[in-house]
Parts: sequence; structure tokens; C-alpha cells
Amino acid sequence: MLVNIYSITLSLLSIVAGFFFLRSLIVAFRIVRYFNIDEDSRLQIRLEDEGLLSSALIQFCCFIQLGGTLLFVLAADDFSTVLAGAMCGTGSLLANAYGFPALIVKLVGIFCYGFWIVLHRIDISSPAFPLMKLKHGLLFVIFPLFLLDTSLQILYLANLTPDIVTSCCGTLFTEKGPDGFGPNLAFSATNQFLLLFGGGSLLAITSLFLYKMLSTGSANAWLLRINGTGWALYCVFGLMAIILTISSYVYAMPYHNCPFDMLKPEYYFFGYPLYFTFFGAVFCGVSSALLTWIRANEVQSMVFNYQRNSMKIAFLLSLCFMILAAAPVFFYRLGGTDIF
Amino acid sequence: MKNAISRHLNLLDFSLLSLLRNRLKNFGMFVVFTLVVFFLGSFQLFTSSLQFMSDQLLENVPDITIQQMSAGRQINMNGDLADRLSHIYGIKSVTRRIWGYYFDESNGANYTVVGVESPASSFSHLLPEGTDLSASRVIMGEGVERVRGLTGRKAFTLFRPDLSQQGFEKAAVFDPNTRSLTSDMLLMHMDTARSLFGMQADEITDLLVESGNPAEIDTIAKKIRAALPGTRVITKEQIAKTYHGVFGWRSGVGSIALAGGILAFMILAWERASGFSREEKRETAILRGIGFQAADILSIKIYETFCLSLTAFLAGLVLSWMHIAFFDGILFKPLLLGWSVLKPGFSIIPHVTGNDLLLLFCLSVVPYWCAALIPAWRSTLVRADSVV
Repeated sequence: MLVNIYSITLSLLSIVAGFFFLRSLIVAFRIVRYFNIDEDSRLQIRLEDEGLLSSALIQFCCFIQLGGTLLFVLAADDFSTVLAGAMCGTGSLLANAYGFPALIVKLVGIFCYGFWIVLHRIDISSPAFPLMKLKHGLLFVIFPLFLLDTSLQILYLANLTPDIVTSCCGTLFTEKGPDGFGPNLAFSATNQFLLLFGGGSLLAITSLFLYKMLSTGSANAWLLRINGTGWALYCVFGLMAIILTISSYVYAMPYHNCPFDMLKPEYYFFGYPLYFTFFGAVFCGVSSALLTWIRANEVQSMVFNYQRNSMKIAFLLSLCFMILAAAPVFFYRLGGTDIF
Repeated sequence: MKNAISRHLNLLDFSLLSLLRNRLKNFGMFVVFTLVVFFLGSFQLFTSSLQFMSDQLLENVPDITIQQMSAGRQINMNGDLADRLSHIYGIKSVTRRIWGYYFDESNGANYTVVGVESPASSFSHLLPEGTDLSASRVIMGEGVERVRGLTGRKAFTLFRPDLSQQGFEKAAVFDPNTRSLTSDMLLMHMDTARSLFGMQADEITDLLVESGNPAEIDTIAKKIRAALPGTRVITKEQIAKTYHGVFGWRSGVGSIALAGGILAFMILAWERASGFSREEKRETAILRGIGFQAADILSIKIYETFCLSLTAFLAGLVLSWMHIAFFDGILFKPLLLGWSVLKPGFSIIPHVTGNDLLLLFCLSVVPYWCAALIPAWRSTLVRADSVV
């Protein structure tokens, strides 16, 4: 189904991002090879200017990929009006083997681009650009991810034909057996609530403590790393809990577990703040942990500031997320009705 | 934080003034960009509106339609077949119907002729209350009334297949608001339709099944297929998905056709952005001389691009909306709708969703940014001493 306006737009965005990426890889190669802040040659000045270009391009790529991921989800939802058996985006993504892997790679990609931008911001805060080589070297790690993302997306779109009969979220997330992975997870709804709200509260409190500790200068890098690992795990389990349990309360239908329908106007775009707060908190938690490996003295104060602020933001976002996630459950349990 | 915001506000201010200073050059770009968005937008909004309208119409389509097939083509069926469905649990009602087309040689129009047992069936929502369809009375669409010149009179005749004439009496005209569905329609009693088409006493063209529970439609359809072999069983969902598939494909083809335009526009934007004049070069050199960083100058250029593209995007969007709302999408109508003698009365209700806006934005604004960003960076490389 490449002849469809969503497919065309997604492909166009990938081409644009790919073009930017390749251009910044050329810059990255030269910087990794020749950049030396102590030199004052013409090449060095040129490289400093090119560093500006690559950062602008990658920030742009990040923006494009963010839009592309949103569009991918919306496209999947639109395809469900054409594919037999698909009732929402989940069904469309399941129509062939590339849909969900493409989405997951896209999400991981956004995390990577986001972290790159954080590194860049920290780097340009010092006139010595201590992270110049590191961040440009990182581009060679991110680029294969981008290629994988684009390939999966093209494979998904090209292999999508309207006569394929697919199954939908009701089958995938609730039935046992080969088609569904719902109860195979051995997590009851209570356990999921416990993970979502218990784990969330624990991480929120830890983040708040870390914020206080960072403010007084007594924080330890290992504490931040443990906290970051916690957030990374929470990303996986929290997402499962949203899909398997919270979504049913949002839709007030036990077998409707679509992670994407809540982004639609019928549910007042409830999914946007929910996912934004969730992924935002996870990003703050994980990125501040990753930054503990940055040892350059010139940017330590900036790293420290970032970690302190991101702990505060992670705390606030996770609070908002838990309130948002709890709202539909409360409405249903107490009022006996759905929130919308 | 406050400093950063005020810095960016100042840069934005500078970019706006710079856009105004080069207003002639920028205006050309603005016009071309607006046109690109207008064409893309009209196409997308048109498709989206058609999809929305077809969804609305499909709400009144019966859950399941059954047609008799022979040698891969639809043929008439016996009305008694309906009785063989009585054992299927979950069926609320089965209605017999005659649905056919009548070609009127006098004006070259095709009428859709619908014969029903009682008007209360699937057309009840379109009719005035208490409409009587006995004998030769018909309810017609306003398109039929217009092309037959029946505004002032009631009686008219049509030819049977054996060229004998059959007389009709106009009982009522469908509400003009439903014209997308009823413009070319003649609704009459089943016996009258049989007589017009020269059909046998018991013959019908299709059976319409309503189910009590929408979730059971697919199961009921499966049972009907088993009970009535040799028939084609079409569910409402299948019709909707086919419509969506066709519209999606058509809009895809249209956007590929317009892709050439986008590409040409990107080349233009690239050319415009990279061929910066002596004056601009001097300006950049002075800015660097008085202490602007390369990053500041890049920000100014990016702001200029953003302002120009967003204004043009909005302008193009408003124009395309007007094109659909006030001119019925006149430029793309033949491509997306087809043509017919009775179709002209059909008007389009504009329907815009957030998805359409995001699609348009990604198709028009993002490529423009892409074309303008690298040249913008190149222009920041001007050294302060280069033009002194």
C-alpha cells in the first residue's frame, strides 16, 4: 500500500531525514578524524562551523522523526479502515511482521536523538566543546538505527495489502495461545496496577530524593544509575500496564486494549498527555543516568544542572502521569461509568 | 531562562524585519508556496470530505446485502429465498428489494430505480411521514425532477423493455439535503418496479438483512453464505473498507502526481536560499563583525524560513478550504468523483481533521525546511572580513 497519502508522506519524511543524516555523517567523520580544539588552523575553524550544521540537522531529524512516529501511528489507524479484520491501529500494525518492530525502533530512535540533543546542549555550553568527538562518534551508532527504522517502515508499507486478514487488539492482548500474549505474561490486573502505581511512586520518590541530594551536592553516580535502570524497566512494564489494563478503563470495554485509539478525538486526545508524561519522565530518568559517564571537567556543572532539573521534571511528570492513568480507573470503579 | 527567551524573541524580531526588507523576493516565494499548499490541501481535503460523507451515507446501508450470482454476474433472485434465512439466530429483519438502473434515452441520464415493499424500510429516514407508494406513485430525487422537467406537473411515463409505456405519478420529492444519495433516485413499490423492468412476479434483485447486534454481523454473514450457496453476501463493513481503499488509493495517486510539483518547489527553495546576494552577504558579514555568533545567524535564517513557510501554509490551507467549501472543489471534482448527467447538484461538505493538517504540513512545510536549512547554514559561514 505504498500508493497512499500516508505512505507517501512517511517515505518523504524518511528521505528528508536520511538526507540530513548523511550530510551530518560527513561532518561527523571529519570531526572525529581531525577535530582538535587546541589547534587554530583553517580546518579547525571550518570544523567548528560544521559542528553547528550537524547539530542543527540532527535536531531537525529528531523533530522529523517525532512527527514521523506520530504519523506512523495515525497511518496505522487510517489503514484499519481498509484492512479486513483490523478495527484500530493495532490490527493494522499486526497485518505483517514489520509493523510493531518498526514502531518500537522508531520509539527507541526518538530516545537516542533526544539524548544526542541533550549531549549537544551540554557540549556547546563550554567554549572548549569537550564532547564534540563523542557526540559525533555517537552518530555512527545512531545511523544504523535510523536505517533499520526506514527499512522496517518501507517493508511494512510495501507488504501491506488490503486483502490480508489481520487480528486486532482484542485478540492480541487478551487471548492465550499463539496469537495473543495477554495472560501469558502471568500478570493479573492487580499486579499491573501494583507495578504501574507502586513502581511509579517509588521512582517518583527516588527522583525527588535524588533532586534534593543533587541540590545539596551529596548525590552519588551509582544512585543515579540505579534510578535510571529503574526508569528503563518502568518504561517496559508501565507500557504493558497501560495497554493491558488502563486502556480498557479508558474505553470502558474489557476487550478493547488498543494503545493508539486513545490518541483519537473520540477519547479527547487522552493518550497524548498520558504518553507524553510517561515517556517524558522515563527520558529524564534514563538520560540523567547516562550522563553520569560524562567525565569532562569543563561541562560538569552543566551536567550537574541537567541531572538536577531532570530529576525534578521526572518527579513532576510521573506524578501527572499517575494521576492521568488513575483517573479512568477511579471514574469507572467509583462512578460505574467511563471517563468520557 | 528569561534571557534565552528574550534573546530568541529579539532574533525573531530581527528575522521578521529582514523578511520585510526583502519583501519582493520573499513575496514570490510566498506565492509559490501558497499555491503548492493550495493544490495539495484541496486534494487532501476533498478526499477527506468525500470519505466523511460516504461514512455518513453508509450509516443507512443495511448490515448485510445478499445477491444471487450466476457465471460471476449478478442475476435476479426469487423472493422466497428470504424464508430460508428464518432459522438464523440474530437476524432482526429481512427485506426484499429491487435495485436497478433505468437509462432515459430522452436526456441521456441514468436513474437509480428502487422498488421496496413498504417505504418504511431502509428509506424511512429520507421520506416525509405517511408517504403512500401504492399503484404507480413514485418518490423522486430532485435531479430526476429537474431533468424530466416535472417541477410543475405530476404525471410522466417511462418505457418498459418491450417498449410499451408505463405511467407514473410523482408522489413527493426527496429532501434536497439528501441529494448526494437521492439525486438520481426513483423510489416506488416493488410491483411497480417489476412491471417497469419486465420482471417475473416473484423476482427481486437483492435481500437486505438487519442484525440485532452489530458485533454479530460477520457470523450471520457466514451462516447466510452456508444457507444460500451461490449468493454474494456483502457486509456493511466490507463496503466501507472498499470505499476507504478506493479513496485512499485515489488520493495516493493524486499526491504522486503532485509530488513533481513539490520536488520542483524544493529545487526552487534550494536555489533561492543558496543564491544569496551581495547585499545579504554584506549583511551577514556586518552581523558577524558586530559580534553575532554563527549560531545566532543560523537562528535568524531558520526563523525567516519558519515565518515564511507557516504563513504560506496557513494561507494555502484557507484557500483550499474555500475551494472545497464555496467552489465544491471544482479543480479536482472530475478526477475524484467521475461525471454523470444527474450529478451536478451534488455539493461537498468540507471536513478537516488533525490528521489532514499533519499530513499536509509534513508534505509541504518539512520539504521546504529541508531545502532551506543547508543553504541557510552555508550563508552563516561568511567571515566578517570577507566584504570589508
